[in-house]
Amino acid sequence: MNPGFGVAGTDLYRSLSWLPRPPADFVARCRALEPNPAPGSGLQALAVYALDENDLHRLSALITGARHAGKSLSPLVPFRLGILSNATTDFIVPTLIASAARHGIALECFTSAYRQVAQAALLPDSEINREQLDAVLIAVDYRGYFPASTIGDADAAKANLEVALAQLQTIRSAISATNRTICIVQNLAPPAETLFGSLDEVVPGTPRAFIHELNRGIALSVAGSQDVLFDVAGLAATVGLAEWHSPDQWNLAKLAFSSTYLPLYGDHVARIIAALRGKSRRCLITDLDNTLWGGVIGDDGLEAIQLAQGDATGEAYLGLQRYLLELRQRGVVLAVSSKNNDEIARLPFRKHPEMLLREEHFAIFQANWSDKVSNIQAIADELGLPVDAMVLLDDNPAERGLVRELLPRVAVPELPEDPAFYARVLSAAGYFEAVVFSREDLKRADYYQDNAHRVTLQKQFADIEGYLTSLKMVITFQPFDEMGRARITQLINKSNQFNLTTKRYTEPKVAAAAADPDCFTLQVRLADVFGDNGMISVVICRKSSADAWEIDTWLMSCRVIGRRVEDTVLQEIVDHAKRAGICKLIGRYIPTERNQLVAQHYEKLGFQPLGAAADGTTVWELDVRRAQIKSSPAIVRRSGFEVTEASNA
Amino acid sequence: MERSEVYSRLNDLFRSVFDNDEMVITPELTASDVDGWDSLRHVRLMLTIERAFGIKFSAYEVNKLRNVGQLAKLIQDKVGVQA
Repeated sequence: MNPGFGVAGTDLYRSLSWLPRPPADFVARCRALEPNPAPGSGLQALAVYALDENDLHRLSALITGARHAGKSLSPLVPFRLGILSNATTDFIVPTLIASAARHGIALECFTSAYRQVAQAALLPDSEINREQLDAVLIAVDYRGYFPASTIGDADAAKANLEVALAQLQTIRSAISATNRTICIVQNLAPPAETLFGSLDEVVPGTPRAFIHELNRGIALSVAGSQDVLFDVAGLAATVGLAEWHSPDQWNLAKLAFSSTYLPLYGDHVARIIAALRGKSRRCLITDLDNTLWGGVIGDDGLEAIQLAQGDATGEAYLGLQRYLLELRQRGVVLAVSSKNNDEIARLPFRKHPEMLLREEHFAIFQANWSDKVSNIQAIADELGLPVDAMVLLDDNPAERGLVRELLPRVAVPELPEDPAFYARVLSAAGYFEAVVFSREDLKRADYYQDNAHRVTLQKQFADIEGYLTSLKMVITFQPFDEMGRARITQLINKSNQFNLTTKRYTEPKVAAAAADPDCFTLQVRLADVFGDNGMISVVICRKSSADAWEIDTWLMSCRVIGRRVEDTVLQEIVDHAKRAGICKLIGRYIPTERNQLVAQHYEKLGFQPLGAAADGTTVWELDVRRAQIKSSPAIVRRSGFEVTEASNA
Repeated sequence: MERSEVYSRLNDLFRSVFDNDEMVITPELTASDVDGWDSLRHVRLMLTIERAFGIKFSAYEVNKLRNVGQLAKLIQDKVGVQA
């Protein structure tokens, strides 16, 4: 579904894989924005993609150009950042400016001359101190700290450490006093090279041991001060020191770290700045089926969903649940938005022994069949949080696309195929970056708690038709055949929710229906811009009188609900019925515990009621010559029918 | 890798680094012929080429380059060796 997604090794971090790939017309869209008198929103929309170094340069030039032309960058929030570094800042500045736009910040950067860290900080009329800055980034790497060698001499190493920390403190104090601003202090990524090997950690005064101690000292000095830490050491360790440091690039252009990681570095600084401006995300909205557990609860049932210790797939979902629980503990509000029946969706939370997440962990629990956009808006309204405080976790690329399109301020990470990486991707995206942690944070999630209640949808989004068209859906109709038989049988025996009659058939019965001249059968496949969804619907009609077909079976995968596939399927049935001289379609809804979703199915499609039985079964009729069916947003293809027709696209 | 393929991919990278969709490279092209081809842009160009072709240049090799033709030849040699 998503072949471009790299999560193995360092791909995730190098390519910012949680962000959608830039569109093919990215450059054209940059150009189109140039004459715009108020480009702020447009710039942010272009910044949300996984941009490489050159894309970031292009976007940064656009932002700087707009600022020089005196244009307003609103709604981006202005932020003036000084940068002190012992390395070249020419590469990081454009990266920071473009990455900051991704986080809603209009960043302006002021740099000191190369290696003039102390001078810039200490002289009152230096470039840095002349400007009214919102923060100063102290981006000094290990080459800027390195003292005389003290290998093996514990006392000298300790003295060196104190000197290094005191120097840093002097710089920070000077910035605070002169500029009345805070510092974002980088700690140090240790070099990849060791002297002894493992012994470096043991012997005092080795580079590894020194940096280790220094980083601890920096963290302690930041805690309780007004300054904040940028954990470059942690970032470098995450991608690997040998990946992070590039000795040739240092020699070539004094790049403090490999240019491959400029986009990652830029995004991390931008997160901290966004957090300083109160723009971090606050609430995580999660999907359920194939996101919190494997499988579809409504179809597979409580026993069959994958969520067990000892099963690799089940443990992957448990891993995500554990991570969400930890996020909740640190103050992230959790909510559910799932296309499901409420009762069924709550079942695993109430009855599954291995579930870690329980209903009480969620502030809002939205399980219904409405579109996610309306549901996310309702969740935001109910919590009193803006939509740009929301993150949506969803395995379905079409749902992700819909939310990105209609609610662009909601963060929606791309997810890999393998759920084992869900937690890592969510963490790598850094949506919940914080610069302080207080006792109140521990209680925040509880504060929003109201026992997993539901909120009423106030309004439905109208633009969904446009989105459906943009999905470029292709629906393929075929009669039952041997190739599809196994999957048809599987769907017939597994589908519970979008299933009008819930009749179960074995493979020989499916083959018999295909061969029966009194049966009309359909297998339906759906593809869209995100890939091939495979077989998503099955229909069997049986001739019940000379001029009538009864719809014996009509089922559909819940994954494609809300995409008007049912209208297209009905149109196909009606077309074939007319050709077979059929005047009436009879539809039957047989209620089960799980298929309330389709109780009004035939009514919505324009069938007339014929009657209802005591068990709740309802019978419906459609006059095929008078049927008025909404036109389909999909392109229709057919194959395998006796009369082959051209596509109606 | 064919020479023409190297040039075609290289041309795309030049356009991206110089943010100029009309740029057409030739073997004779040098830094002094191109507006904005300063030392910083040069570093970005070299690093972009390294990433795109999956190769590494040494500082010695970079310093020796006199025109796009020599650059393309160097790329072709390196890609050829690795293939």
